[in-house]
Amino acid sequence: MEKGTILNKLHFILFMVLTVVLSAIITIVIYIFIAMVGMKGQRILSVSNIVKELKNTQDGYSLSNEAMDTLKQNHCFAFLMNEDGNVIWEYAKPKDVPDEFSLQEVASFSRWYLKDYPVLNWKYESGIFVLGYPKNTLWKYTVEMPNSQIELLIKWMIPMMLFIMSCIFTVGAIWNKKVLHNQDKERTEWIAGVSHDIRTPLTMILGYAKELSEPQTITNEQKEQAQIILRQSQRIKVLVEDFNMANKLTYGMLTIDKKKVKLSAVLRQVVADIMNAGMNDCYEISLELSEDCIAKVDEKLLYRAVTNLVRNSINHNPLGCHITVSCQKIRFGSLIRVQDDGCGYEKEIRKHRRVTSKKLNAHGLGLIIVNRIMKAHHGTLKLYNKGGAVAELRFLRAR
Amino acid sequence: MNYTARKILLVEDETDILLMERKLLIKEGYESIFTASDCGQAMKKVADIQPHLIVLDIMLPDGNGFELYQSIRKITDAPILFLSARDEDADRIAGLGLGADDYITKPFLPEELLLRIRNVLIRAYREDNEASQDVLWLSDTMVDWGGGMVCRNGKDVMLTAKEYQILQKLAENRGNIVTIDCLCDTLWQGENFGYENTLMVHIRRLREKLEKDPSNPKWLLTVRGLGYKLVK
Repeated sequence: MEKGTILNKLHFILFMVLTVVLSAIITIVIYIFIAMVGMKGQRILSVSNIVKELKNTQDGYSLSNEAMDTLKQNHCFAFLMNEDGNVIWEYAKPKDVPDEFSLQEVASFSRWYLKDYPVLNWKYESGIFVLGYPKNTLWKYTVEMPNSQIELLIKWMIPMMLFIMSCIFTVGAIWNKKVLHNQDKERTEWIAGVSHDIRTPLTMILGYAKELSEPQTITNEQKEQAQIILRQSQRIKVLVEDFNMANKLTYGMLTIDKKKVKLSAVLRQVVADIMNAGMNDCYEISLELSEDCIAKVDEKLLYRAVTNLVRNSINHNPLGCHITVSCQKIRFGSLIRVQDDGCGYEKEIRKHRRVTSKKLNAHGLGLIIVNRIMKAHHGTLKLYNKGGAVAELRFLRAR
Repeated sequence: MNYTARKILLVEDETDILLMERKLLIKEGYESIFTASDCGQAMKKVADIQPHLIVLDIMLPDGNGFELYQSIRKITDAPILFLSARDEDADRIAGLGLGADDYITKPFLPEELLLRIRNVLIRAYREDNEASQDVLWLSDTMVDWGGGMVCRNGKDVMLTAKEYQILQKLAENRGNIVTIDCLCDTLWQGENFGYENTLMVHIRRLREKLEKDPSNPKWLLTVRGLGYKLVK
């Protein structure tokens, strides 16, 4: 449920995507490498090796049996040409290949094809040894490129790779964000659904507990028990509502309607409503309001945040306390302070000036909601103890 | 006609909740309560019994409450209250946007339901109510809303428009604090900056008309820093 997990999840998924992409690239590179090496070994006979097997004896030229077998297996042919362009030895030379070659023809087949047969050459004594392959078995073209261009390509190789990688990364991140947003939406809807299902039975518990706690026919003890049921179910009611609210705030599923608001008016309303709802005499609330504090906020959410803080002061000081609610202009905006003279915030919350959700868990959902509301407003929440609990909400100046 | 004599139709698909609501209303003194558990039944009962107030659940087995609302509106102008387990702002806005008189979310406190039903009934049938509803008594002082005046010791004093508005707002929230901002907003819609002092002048004049000892008020109290309150 916490933001921490969702961030971790984001990182994890990004990492996974990146890994998959990189491993795909590496696999392709390795594959191409193996394929090339393999081709060299299996398909292209090495001319230099065959040439070594050709011996000039008294009876003329002869190729070893071994080499001949290899040529036969590969359906290759071979011939030897002297410096005048005449064929002086041959092995399985096709009929359409002539017996003598002009200088022009030699220059041509040394680079490309001989009568459509792919051929490779090697110098032998004063002539040329030619190894020919069957038609359509070998791709043979030469590549030429200016030196400057090759240098340029090498120079830009790393930036290019980085660019491609960042492209992949961005696409992955966007796609991933979309997936996560859908997940968040599903989760929020699910939680809203569950709290919906809790509401109906809770309505009945509240209704009947109230009825039970009233009539005179039952004993005082039973009446007290009925009142406990009533109080506790009211607590569940608040919890379910808070939980739903915190959840919606966490996943950004709440529309935030920011308007210029006079802070003193909202604070007065909060205090008036708390007093109207009935407050024990042991609590006292005083106001120190500066009337010229204007901030661009969602009025309902601000009302909620301040109500939570004042209610916290009341709930955590059952023996009573004095609560001061104030607002004032500060350099970059406005500051709302809710302060009491009670027992203060627990150690874990106070020690961490920057409030994390984990630390706030112990304090119930109230402060989490305040924290989330402040985040949604790009404001800050600061909690500390000074003669009691102090909570400070800072809003940036309304533009 | 007393508001508890009004006919109320409850539309809700959960039998247990329906029973509970019925019990609550009977205990409060309501005499004619009718129930329906789906849209079809509800439409039939609305036509048959012509209820004065209808409480609608939003999720019903054969349709939703918003659609039912529109069908009912074609037959009757009786006030309609939505009662739903959905607390999404969108639903609330949809319900009130249709023109519903109130929107209550489950779980509700029994008192809350009763109070809201009562308020809607009183508001909707104001002109039918007895004369006593149009008058506010503050011990021996009588405020006559219809005439816009205060009657004390046999003498009638007229209220100014602003005084009338202030007193009405306070009477609507009798027993509760109404903030300065809320009062200013009622009197000077929207432009309520710097009117606090003017408000104070109006309150002082109002006290002179209502209170025996205006400098030591018994009814119209100041809650320092917050606002004003009309004592119950």
